[in-house]
Amino acid sequence: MLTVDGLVVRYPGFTLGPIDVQLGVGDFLTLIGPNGSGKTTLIRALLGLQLPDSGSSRLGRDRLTERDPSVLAHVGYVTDSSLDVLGEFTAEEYWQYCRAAHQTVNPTEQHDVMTDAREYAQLLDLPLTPKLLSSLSLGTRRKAQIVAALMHRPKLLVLDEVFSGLDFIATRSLEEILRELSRNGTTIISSNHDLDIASRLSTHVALLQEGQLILYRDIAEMGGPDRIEDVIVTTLREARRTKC
Amino acid sequence: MTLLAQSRELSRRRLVLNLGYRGSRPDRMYHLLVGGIVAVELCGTAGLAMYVYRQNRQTSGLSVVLPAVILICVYALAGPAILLAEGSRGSLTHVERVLETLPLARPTVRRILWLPPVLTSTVLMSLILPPAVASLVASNIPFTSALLSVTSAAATSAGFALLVLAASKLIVRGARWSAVQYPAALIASLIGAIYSLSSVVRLDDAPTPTDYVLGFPLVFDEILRRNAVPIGLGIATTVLGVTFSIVSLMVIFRTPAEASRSDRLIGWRISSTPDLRMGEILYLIRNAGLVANLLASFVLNCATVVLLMSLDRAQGRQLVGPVLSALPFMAGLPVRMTRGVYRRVWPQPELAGASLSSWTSRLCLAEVVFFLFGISPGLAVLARADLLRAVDGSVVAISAIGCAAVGIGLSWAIPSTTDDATSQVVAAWIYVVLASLTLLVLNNLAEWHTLAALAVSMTLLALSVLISRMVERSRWQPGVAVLRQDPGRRYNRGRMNDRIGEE
Repeated sequence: MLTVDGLVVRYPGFTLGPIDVQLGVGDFLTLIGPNGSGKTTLIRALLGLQLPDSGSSRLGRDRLTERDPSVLAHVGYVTDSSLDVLGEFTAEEYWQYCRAAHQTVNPTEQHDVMTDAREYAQLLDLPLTPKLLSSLSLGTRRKAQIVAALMHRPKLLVLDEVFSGLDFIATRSLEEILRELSRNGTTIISSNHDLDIASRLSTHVALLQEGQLILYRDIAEMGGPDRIEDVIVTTLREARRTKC
Repeated sequence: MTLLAQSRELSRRRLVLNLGYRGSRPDRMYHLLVGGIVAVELCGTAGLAMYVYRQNRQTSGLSVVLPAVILICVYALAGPAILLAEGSRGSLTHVERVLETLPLARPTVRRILWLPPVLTSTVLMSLILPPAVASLVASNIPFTSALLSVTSAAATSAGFALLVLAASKLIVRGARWSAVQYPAALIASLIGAIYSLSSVVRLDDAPTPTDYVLGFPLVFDEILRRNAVPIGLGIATTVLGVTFSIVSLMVIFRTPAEASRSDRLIGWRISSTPDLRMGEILYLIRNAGLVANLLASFVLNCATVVLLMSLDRAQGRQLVGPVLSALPFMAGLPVRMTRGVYRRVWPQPELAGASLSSWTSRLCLAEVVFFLFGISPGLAVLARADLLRAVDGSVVAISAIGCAAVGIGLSWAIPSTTDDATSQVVAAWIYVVLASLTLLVLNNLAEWHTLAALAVSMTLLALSVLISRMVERSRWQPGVAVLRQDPGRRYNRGRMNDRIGEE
């Protein structure tokens, strides 16, 4: 389903990769790593938003890095910042905008996108007020972003620290939604600092340290969800000791 | 609604919200704004034309000077206006990141991001061109010549400014430098205007290669000599400017920004009793946009002074007064941006526990320092005793105090963020209008009574500082709720003092 093949991104003073990851239909990969380890860079590079120095990422047979709209129509993406919304619109106007963008690729919708959006909004406890998004709290904007990413029923969902800023009700609801989507075949990549959430949702875990993928495993191989924290702490400690 | 129509709607709302509108009807506000602009434009055009016509009738010599001044104004405004409109793309980071989440090809994303600059430049050009054409016609210049000379001035100015911007983008590609690229192009554009203005001095000389490259000096020369522009020359220079603009925009369009390396910073020595005034100034000068604008006004003032010093004694004596009054005008322009470095509501110093009165005082002090830096090139005039004798020092001081007052007052009244070009353009225009009016009133008053003018300028400065405090108090108001809940917290002590003082 998703293949990341030898992806390398270089900045002055920082190198990400090479990253090799393969995910199947319905897999849930949680990206874990200290701040500045390259999680967002990896996400942006595999979506083609950051031009890689080498390597590529493919959704099925299609290269994501080329940013072909017909391929991107199957991808839902939530950025790492709640500010990345069209603050001059209300939540519903924002979704209409996203819908119009999708209609440039698929003029005939397969399902009622706005009905889906309202349902997700209800699940996430997002009130549909006529207020502009810029006047709403960061958590509420976050919910609007999540709905925008989900309402088109993507095959691949990429979430960058999506739980940050969400209240506990929305966090639990989102967990349920993601579990359901994964069960129904949506492949999900989520960067996250909360190991409890990661242990409840993930089928795979990837650990990044200073741009290097130092752990990439199936949860079952790690000894089950309860072992995630121990394995991650041990791996990080060893990586730092080796560096010293 | 299609994506394009929705993007247009987005651009309009951005314009209105950037101007500070926080109500629930941005569409209605936009239409009111457009209506207001059209009304002001019509009244301004008619009023300016009538004023020029009357002045020409009263003073015969003005019929030569006024068209030149009008054309120079168009040239000096058109390039910067296009640059600022182009720069409004820089404030679209969040919009760009939203578009990245959608299934849109890169060219489509770019087209959507270009909509606000196109809208802004259209608005700005429509503000500049009609009054200029009307004024030229009122100066007895045939309509065709007036239209051609104005379009030529606007096109060549825009072309030159965009050419310099494209070159600077190619040479310094780092994302951090984007804040410096625009002022660099702005300076080049204004130097072009000053160069064209210098044609007045070398009227009898043959055109230089620079004249042919810039295009506009040739048109300017024709207007000065014959009060008309040959149609061929007008069309040729306009086409030249438009071509430069298109080619430059294509280069800008295709030049991606490179990731910047970390920069060296001037450190702040941390001690047990840190000097917050120094900390404030250091914090402000780490904002590349503000620094670039400060340097731009400084360099421009240097260029003006150098030009003044290069003139012969008689011309220098005639121009030293207006030039020394113009320096504070430029110096106040970047001062207007200072408050915008901080968040509009709940500015960072409030959250860090600063007291309202001490912070506003520190920032006003920093603004005065920046203003003095901007006008410092004027000190060079002290070296020319013959020029110094020709100038009334009190009038210069009154002009400086007046411009500083407008800059400081506007900085607090319209705290537009440095990366938001649209609100920067609007705030800059408001500054230009207010500072011009202030200079006009103060200079007229000074002719009648110098002390009265000085008193008025000092009152204006005191008022601007007072306004800063009053305006800021309303922005800090939400923090008071937090204070009431937890007044004992150490970091709230400063704010508590303000409250106690208030009650």
